[in-house]
Amino acid sequence: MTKNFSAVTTDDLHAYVDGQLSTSRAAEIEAYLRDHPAAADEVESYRIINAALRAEYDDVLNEPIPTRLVSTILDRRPRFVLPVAAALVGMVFGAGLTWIVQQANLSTERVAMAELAEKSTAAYLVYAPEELHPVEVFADQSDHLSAWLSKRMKTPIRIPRLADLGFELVGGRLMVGDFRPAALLMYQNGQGQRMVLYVRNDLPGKDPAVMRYQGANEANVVTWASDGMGYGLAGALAEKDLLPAAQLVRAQISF
Amino acid sequence: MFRNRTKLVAEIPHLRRYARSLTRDQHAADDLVQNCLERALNRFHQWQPGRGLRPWLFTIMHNLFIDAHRRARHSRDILSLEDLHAPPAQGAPQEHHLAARTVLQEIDLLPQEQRDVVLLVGVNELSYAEAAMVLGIPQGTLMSRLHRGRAKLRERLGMASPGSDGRPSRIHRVK
Repeated sequence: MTKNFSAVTTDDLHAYVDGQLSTSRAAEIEAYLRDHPAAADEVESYRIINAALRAEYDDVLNEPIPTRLVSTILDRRPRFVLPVAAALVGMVFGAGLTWIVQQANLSTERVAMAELAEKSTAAYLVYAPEELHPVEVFADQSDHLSAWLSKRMKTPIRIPRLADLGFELVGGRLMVGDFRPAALLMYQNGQGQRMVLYVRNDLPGKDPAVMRYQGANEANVVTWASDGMGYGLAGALAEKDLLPAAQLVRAQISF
Repeated sequence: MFRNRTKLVAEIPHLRRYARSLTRDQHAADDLVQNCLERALNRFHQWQPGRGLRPWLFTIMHNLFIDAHRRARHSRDILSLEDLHAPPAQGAPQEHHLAARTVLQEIDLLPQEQRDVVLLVGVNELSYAEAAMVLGIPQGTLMSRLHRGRAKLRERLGMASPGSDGRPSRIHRVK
C-alpha cells in the first residue's frame, strides 16, 4: 500500500487472470496482489478454474480432425457448378455440339484441379502441425505403407524419395478423394519444415494437367495430373523450393 | 473461396474444443461442429473479414447449441442442469488437490448464462469484446456474469475461505 495504483477493480483481477491486460497494467496488478492477499487468493482461484478447463479441453486441439468435418468444407462445390454442368450435358445431347463437350470437360477438370489444390493445402494445414499423429504409418514401415495405400487405391503408389532436397519421409495416411480413397505422404527436412503430397486417382478426366503453382497465406501448393492421377504438393515453402520438389516427385512416380 | 476454405479448416480444432466444452461429449461436439461449418458455408457472404473468423464461427456455434438445448428442453421436458442444482460439494473438506473434474462438474451446475461466460472466456482465449459479441451481450454484462459465475464457483468449491484472507483453500492446484 505504499505504491500509488490507479484503482484496481474486480474486472482487473479477471482480466489479469485471462491475460487481457497490457503488460504495464498487468505489472501494476502484480504489484497490487503482493500487498493484498485476499485479492491474490481470489486471483489464484480463478487461475485454478481456468487451469481445470485447459486440462480438460486443450488436448482436443491436438486430436486428429475427423475426416467428415474436413469433408464438410472441402467436398462442397460451388453451387452453380452442378446445374450448369447438367444444362451443358442436356445441350450436348440435344444439339450434339461437340465443342460444348470440350468446354464442359475443361471446366470439370479445372474444378477438379482447384479441388486438388484445396485438399492438398487443407491436408497440410491439418496434419503438418501434428506432433503425435502426423501420419498413420511411419517411415520405418514404408514398404507396408506403399502396399497398403496401393491396395486401397487399387493403383500402385510409389513413395518418392526427396532426400536430395533434404526432405525425408515422415510417413503417410489414407485420405478421402471424392468417393474413393486417396493418399497422403508427409516429408520433413532438417529444419522441421514439412510438406505433404496428396495423391488421388479418381479425377474425372484422363487428360494430363500441367504443373501449376498457387500461393496462399497459409501454405503454397503445386498441382498436376497425369493418367487420371492427381497430385498436390503443399507446404509453407517458397515457390523456388516447392517446384523442384514437385518435379522430383513427378519424375519418380509418373511416367 | 480457396483461401477461405483453408481458413475454415484451420479453425476446426478450435471449434471442436469449444464444442467439447459446451456439450462435454465427443460425438455431440463433432455433430455441433459439423452443423456449424455447414451453416457458416451457407452464410459465408455474411462474414466481414474485419470481424475475425473465429468469433463469427463461435457465434454461429453458440446459437446452434442454445437452440438445440432449448428444443431438447421443450420436446422432452427434461430438466436442465441448472434445475438439478445439487447441494454444494460437501463432506470432509479434502486438504489437497481437487480434481479438474470437480471444477468442471461445478461449472455444469452454474446457471446457463454464467456457465456460457466462464467457459467461453476460460477455454478459448478470445478477447472480452469478442466473447461478448459471441454471446450477443454487452461487455459490461459479460464481466458481471463472469464475476458472479466465478464467485459462485469459488464458494461452491470451498476456495473462498470465510475471512477470505488467504487461508487454506481445499484446492492447491489442479494437476
